[in-house]
Amino acid sequence: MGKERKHHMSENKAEEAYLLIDVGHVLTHAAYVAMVEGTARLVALATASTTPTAGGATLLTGVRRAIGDLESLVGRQMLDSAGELRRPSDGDGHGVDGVVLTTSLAPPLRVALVGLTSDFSLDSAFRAASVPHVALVRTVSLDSATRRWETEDLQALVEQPPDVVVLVGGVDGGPVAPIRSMGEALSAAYSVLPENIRPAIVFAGNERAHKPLIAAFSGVADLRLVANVRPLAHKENLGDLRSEIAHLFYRRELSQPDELRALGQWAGANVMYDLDATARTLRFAAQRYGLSQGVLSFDVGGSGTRMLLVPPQGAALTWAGPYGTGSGLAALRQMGDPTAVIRWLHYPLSWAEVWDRLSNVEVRPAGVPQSDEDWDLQQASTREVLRRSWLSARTLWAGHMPGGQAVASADMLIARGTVFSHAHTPAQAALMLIDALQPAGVLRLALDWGDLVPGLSGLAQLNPLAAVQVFDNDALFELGTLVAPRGSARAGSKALQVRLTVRGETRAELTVRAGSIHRLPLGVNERGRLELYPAHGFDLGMGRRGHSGVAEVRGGELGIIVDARGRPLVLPADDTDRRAVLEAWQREIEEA
Amino acid sequence: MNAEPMTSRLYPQTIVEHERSLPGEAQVLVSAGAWVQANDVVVRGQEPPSVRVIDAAQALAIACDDLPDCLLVTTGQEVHAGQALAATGFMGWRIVRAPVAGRVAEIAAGRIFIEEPPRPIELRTYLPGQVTRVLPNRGAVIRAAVSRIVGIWGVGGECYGPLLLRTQAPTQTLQWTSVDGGCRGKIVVGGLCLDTRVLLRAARVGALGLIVGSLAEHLRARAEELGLVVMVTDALGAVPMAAPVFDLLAHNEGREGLLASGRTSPTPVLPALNIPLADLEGPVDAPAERPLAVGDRVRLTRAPHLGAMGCVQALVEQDGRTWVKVRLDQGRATLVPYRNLERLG
Repeated sequence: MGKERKHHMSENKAEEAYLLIDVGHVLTHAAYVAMVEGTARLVALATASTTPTAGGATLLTGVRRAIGDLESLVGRQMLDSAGELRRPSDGDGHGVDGVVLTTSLAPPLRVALVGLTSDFSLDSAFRAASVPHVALVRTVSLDSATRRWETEDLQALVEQPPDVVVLVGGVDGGPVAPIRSMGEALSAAYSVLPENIRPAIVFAGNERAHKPLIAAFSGVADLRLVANVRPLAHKENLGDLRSEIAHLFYRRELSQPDELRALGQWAGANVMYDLDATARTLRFAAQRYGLSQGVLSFDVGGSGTRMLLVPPQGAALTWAGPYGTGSGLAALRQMGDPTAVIRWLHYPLSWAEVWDRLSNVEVRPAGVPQSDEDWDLQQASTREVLRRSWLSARTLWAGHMPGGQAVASADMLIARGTVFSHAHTPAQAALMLIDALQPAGVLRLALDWGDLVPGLSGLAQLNPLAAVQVFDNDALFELGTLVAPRGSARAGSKALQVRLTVRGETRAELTVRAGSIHRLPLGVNERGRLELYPAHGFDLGMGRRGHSGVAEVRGGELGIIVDARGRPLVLPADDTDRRAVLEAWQREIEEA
Repeated sequence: MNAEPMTSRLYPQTIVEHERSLPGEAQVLVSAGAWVQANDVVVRGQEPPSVRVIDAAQALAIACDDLPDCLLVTTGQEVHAGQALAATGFMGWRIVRAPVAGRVAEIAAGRIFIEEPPRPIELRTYLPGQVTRVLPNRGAVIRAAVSRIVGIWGVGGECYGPLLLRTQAPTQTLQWTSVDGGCRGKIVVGGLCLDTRVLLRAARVGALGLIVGSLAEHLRARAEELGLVVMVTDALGAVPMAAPVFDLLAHNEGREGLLASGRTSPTPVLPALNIPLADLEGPVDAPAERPLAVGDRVRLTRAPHLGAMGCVQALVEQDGRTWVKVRLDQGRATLVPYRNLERLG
């Protein structure tokens, strides 16, 4: 997308060095990738505060700082005395050969979907628009009896015009009148607004309605016509609409003379929206690992949380929401449930103290936890942020899953965020994920510990082999495989019997009691075979409740985590009992 | 050691580049190089128009195509609130009326669209200085010499007026009884604000704004609802105002300042108070970013010493992170993560 940027690259890709830069709302991450004994490896990471674009500072200031830290770490110069990038890399290892820029700062394209009815075409439009760089602000179906706009919907689209309105409806060759009427009402509404705030209109419906809509929107709005998402009732065509939306997103970004564009020009790189870039890398991961159910990814940031469900083929589902661990705590506070965070605390803090501390984190998101209480509070709030985000994502995605796949199922969870990568132990990071999301079945857990996942898709465009090598060796911190049966039983009763076999030899056998969590040893890059015998009432997704099965699994830092605490997870109501249980679970998961 | 530079939150004397601009098309009334005073109007424009959608066909229970026969107004016509727009039925008993005054902007698809009159806006400089840059059709940037305090949280728009202290010390809590008629048209300053009655009283007596060291967390929503301009300088909760901040405000009591919440900027920024300098003492420089240095006055921003003041004794690298040894004003020394400090002065 955008203007092709040329930069000199050395003849020998095997010697090249790259910078992967990710600019977030609070932090800017820079990664230095270079050849180590013939293999592309992550050599160094640095983080700096994202500099606000006010008072003379620019985003570039924070980027240069992060690169300066990299220079100190690796002993190589990447910037010249004027602060410009040194290109290409030389024989002494100074300089870089390519830069990848990703950011979450580019606001998503605000899109409203409007359809004649609430099913068929609108469902298809939803799937087409569920891409990383889109925020769906409103979904409107016209009144089923009269096929007219509800005044409230039209008023909302006028008061807060989105960037794009997608109109859909009708199979090709069907009636045109309702679509024309739909367009005329919207055109009349937008004709009153100043031109610079009128949204672009994309029509992806009955092609017979093209001419009337061209007439309706002539002189009012930028109307774009693409192939019908439902040319026939039983046929779906999402590609054209999806491409058009992506084109509009990148066109908006490139047309704005803002900091991001300036940064892209300085770097000689197109700025990629990080969710978009992440989805590409995750699709590669799903294909590489043969994950038929796909990858579920979470990025918990200060200002919000984003989620992606990426299958090996087909469209990704996305969700971006306001719950975060910094300024995003405001959204959590507005839920009005002071006990929400307290239930996860190991330390006895009152809800007033909790919200005083979290409010100060909200207004000073760049700070870090200092005391054990503060660390505990951060992890408790992260659990709640994740839990709320997951509930919202599932609600949005329900009913739109291809092939009827259950929203909750994925083969792998990948989490990203400072709160995970800076947890005191991997077990703490894993427990945050498991407690909040309560996944069930057999699935892998990993962390994007170095914030590399978005940048790798850009690196793949510069040097595909290097991207694969970094992905295989450095990108993910494998926590291990989680085995979590659905269901519950009396605490202490038998929940699950597990046997782990590695290279034909039994490494571990365990009877897991209900209400407990344990680990079995299986190292990073080790593979094993798990025989699983759930008790009656527990379901591992292997047929029916109590049905046993075998799973080929990969290890990780925590090996195999067997979680028989129950799904859904129930915490004791009494504060003292609850803290004791949380302490016990923390101890159990820390013990090898 | 590669500690990040940071600006101070407190400047007795500094230079600011003060942007005064409107989002839409506007008339800029100053030129580059001109000297401006506090009450000079820099830019004049209008708020974006507001449009009301009236589903007249539905209200009259008629088909969309029948609406033109029932209209009592035409496109472009000015109407007042309550004026009949269309009518049908026996003797016209079924009537649709305008909910607001405005102009009939469009009639289509069975609907009447009324555009409310845009409100004019004028932006004054508030900070005397020199226009360094004109932003065509938007506004101007003024370079001004000020005393400056940057806060941590703000709400409301902006206000300009004299400062009035209503606590004697930064550790004192603002009492609602001290917010009286004398606060009308003033920016009220206090150590802590923990009582909703303070906010209610401030709004009722017509105070312009409020500057406090800390605000009880649950009062944030109330402050927003009341439309007050509020700046919190130190923390949310019950934390005294930092002594250097209070001293600067006390030194400038009675003088006018521009209090901006930061919420109305195109890119939200931190709230700030800028007080035009009456007398310059020595050269005045723009705020410089630099890493913390030994001897700097700092404020701690996280528990367990939230709001405490101290002095930097040493910077230490540990496990790839930068820590700062701070001698607290209370006497003891403590090791604090670099990111959990703010420079004051």
